[in-house]
Amino acid sequence: MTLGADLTLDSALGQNKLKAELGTPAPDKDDKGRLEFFVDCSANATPEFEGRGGEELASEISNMLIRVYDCPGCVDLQKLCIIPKQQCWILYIDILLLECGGNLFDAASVAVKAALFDLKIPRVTVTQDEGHVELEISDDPYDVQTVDVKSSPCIVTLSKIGHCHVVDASQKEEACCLARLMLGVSEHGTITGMKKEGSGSLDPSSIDDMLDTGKRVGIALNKSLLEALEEEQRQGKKKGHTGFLRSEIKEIQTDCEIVWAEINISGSRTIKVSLFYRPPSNACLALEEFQQ
Amino acid sequence: MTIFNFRTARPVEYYRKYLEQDVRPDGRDLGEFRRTVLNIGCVTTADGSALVKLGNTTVMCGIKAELCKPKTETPKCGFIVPNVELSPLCSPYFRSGPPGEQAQVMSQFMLEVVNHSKCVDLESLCITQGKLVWVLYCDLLCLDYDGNVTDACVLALLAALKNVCLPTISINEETENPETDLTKRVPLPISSQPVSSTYAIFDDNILFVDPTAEEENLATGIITIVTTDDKLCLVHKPGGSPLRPEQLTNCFDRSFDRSKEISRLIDETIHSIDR
Amino acid sequence: MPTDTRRIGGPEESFSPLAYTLTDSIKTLMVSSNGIRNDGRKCEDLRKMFIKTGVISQARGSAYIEQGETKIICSVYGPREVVRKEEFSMKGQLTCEFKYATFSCSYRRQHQQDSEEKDFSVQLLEALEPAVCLHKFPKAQVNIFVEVLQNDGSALAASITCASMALADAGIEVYDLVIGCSMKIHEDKVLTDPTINEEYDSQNSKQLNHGSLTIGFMPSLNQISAITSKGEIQIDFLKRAMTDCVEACQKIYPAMQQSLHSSIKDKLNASER
Repeated sequence: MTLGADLTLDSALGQNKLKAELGTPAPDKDDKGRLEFFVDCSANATPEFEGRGGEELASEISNMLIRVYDCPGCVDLQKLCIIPKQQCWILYIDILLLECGGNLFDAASVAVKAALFDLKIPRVTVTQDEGHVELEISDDPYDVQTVDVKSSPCIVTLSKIGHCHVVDASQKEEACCLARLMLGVSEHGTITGMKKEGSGSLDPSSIDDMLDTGKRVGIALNKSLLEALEEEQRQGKKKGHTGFLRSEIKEIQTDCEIVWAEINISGSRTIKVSLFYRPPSNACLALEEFQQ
Repeated sequence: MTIFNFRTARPVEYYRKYLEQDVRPDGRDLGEFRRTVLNIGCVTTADGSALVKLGNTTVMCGIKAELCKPKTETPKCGFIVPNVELSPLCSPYFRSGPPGEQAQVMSQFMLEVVNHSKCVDLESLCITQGKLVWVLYCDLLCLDYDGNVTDACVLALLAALKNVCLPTISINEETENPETDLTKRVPLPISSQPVSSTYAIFDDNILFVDPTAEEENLATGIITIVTTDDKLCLVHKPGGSPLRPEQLTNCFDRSFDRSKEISRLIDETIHSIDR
Repeated sequence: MPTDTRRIGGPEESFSPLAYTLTDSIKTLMVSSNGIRNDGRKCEDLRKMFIKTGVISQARGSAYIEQGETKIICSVYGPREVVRKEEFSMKGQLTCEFKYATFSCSYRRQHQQDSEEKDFSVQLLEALEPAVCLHKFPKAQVNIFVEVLQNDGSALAASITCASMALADAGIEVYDLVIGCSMKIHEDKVLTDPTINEEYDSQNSKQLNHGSLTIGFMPSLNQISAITSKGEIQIDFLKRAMTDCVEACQKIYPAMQQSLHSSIKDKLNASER
């Protein structure tokens, strides 16, 4: 089984890396909180990232995440605003790339969504006193607000290989693919952001097909991810956590698409996701891949 | 050897042959500037803008006005911040990244021109003394580097400053916040007109005005003279071949003529825009 | 922010006067009921376009484009030696640098490239790369520099067109021209070649189908070399916008051909003399 890239994305306050801080809102969106993405391509993932080698890829990933999260329906940023024009929550989302196994963008977006799901921000009460504004941050660990991630998007990358396209390309597949289409797909199948990547070009009609596939896969991915996250939340801390990569695999099969969601828990959170789509036109490649 | 090969292989001899006849390879006299084209107010997103073409050399100046606090030692003075950008777009010799030595020298020169010519009274940029003044960011973008960018920059800056129309700012007495009225715009008063002329020194004794990039490379020295109306403002001669006093006087005379030419050009251009 | 010692420094902090404007610009409908936009265009109309090649004497190739009030200049250098040795490759390389001039937008831009400009540089590169015969200049690189002098919307699309013209002017071998085109998707309407106001309008709206789409299109190969979208859009609208984009590009194509044609004529006349 080919796994997507391994990613850890630590969430919530305290020991973890999705940090929420108070800050001033952006001048052109003064009634909203902000999301700040930072991707770190560590040299652990591949020797190519040594020095400043990973920077380009890192900025590409973070730009793509900004692109797909840059629409008002994705995350209710207004809820993160405390006082318009003055105070809001800024969510710093740090993504650490541990291993490259292909399909980094999709894995990163899944990790972001999962981290946002898990995010708990302390409630802030605003009291106004003779023009002075005072903020009080609740220290009760249960007095928190959460972010609704139901409608946040997942990235689906469709790699064009030969005359057909595949989702969740492995590193080898990525190497022989000249053009990729990355889509941010919401749970309803709307596209929140799109970008073509790679040195090849695409035929308008094949983009049409890719959009259709992307929508179908995206809806399935969002659904299974949410189910997995909710299942995880239900079990809560009751379940014993041992080790870094204890996993629970959930398999969902729809037509010829297979989506694995592998959620690993231990204090911090590791998520492995794999999704697989066999394009009807290209049985052999898909089967080969499946057997692996 | 064809004439073109001769030009690349032995440029100095090639130039000497021409200069013996008191003419330059592009057909100009030694005291002749290239055709100067001026376009004022070409970028509407800027508060003031101008495009200058000096032969092939092209410089665009865009001015953005912003509000800031004045320095405590000069509570009534605003700021003018000129910066020259020699981007890799304009010549194969520039690399991307922070400004190189030449761009830094030119920016500093522009600042000196602004300061010494006093073309804009910095106190006219004051809104509330000690609290709020204008800062004019004058960015000079070189689009085509074919020599004598300095003269083009000075002209572009002057023309753009003449084009600046600042919105009116009033202070709300309750909140003490400024309030901008974009519909009422006031032109910036310009008190003097700095005009620069650059000369290249060839073979230590021949002087010619407005050098192209090729001529700049062959020159043994460069001298820039800035005049404000009928006065001398500053002379910039960073080393190079020494000059005799009478040569310098000739340059001064040519510079004052140029000053008149430029002021006519600016007036004509502004007039043609008004119509 | 660290101070920039290589530039003339101003005051430490300054604010745009636009931040203090009192009257918010009066909200008008982006498209009136009879399908006319604020600037008098119909939904599918392009703005007036002006293209000229060979504008920078020092560059191998250059082009200037005006699309409405959007003004962009682009120069191409090379093929020349690769500066950084570690980037060595047997295939030719293409680099793109996209920059807004500091005075080109309503708010002042910084001198350093910001993340949007870097993103656009990458997108520009990806739009042009498929069209360039990279194998024709092995071990060397071609550098493309794009400067937006004034931004009135569709800046990326216009710079794709402009850069492709500059490449052609430089005599770099290409498979095809690349034409950029943008669409604004506004509720049930698709607006061709949006202005900056149209681009920013209702960006914060929670409704579906507010977004924009930019493509780079190679007309004679009928291939899309770049496609990006922003905002939450339904697939059907996206497909419609894409078809409209391709159609609009077909309209731009003759203008580009004509401009290149006349520039070659000029060059021939000049060399005959």
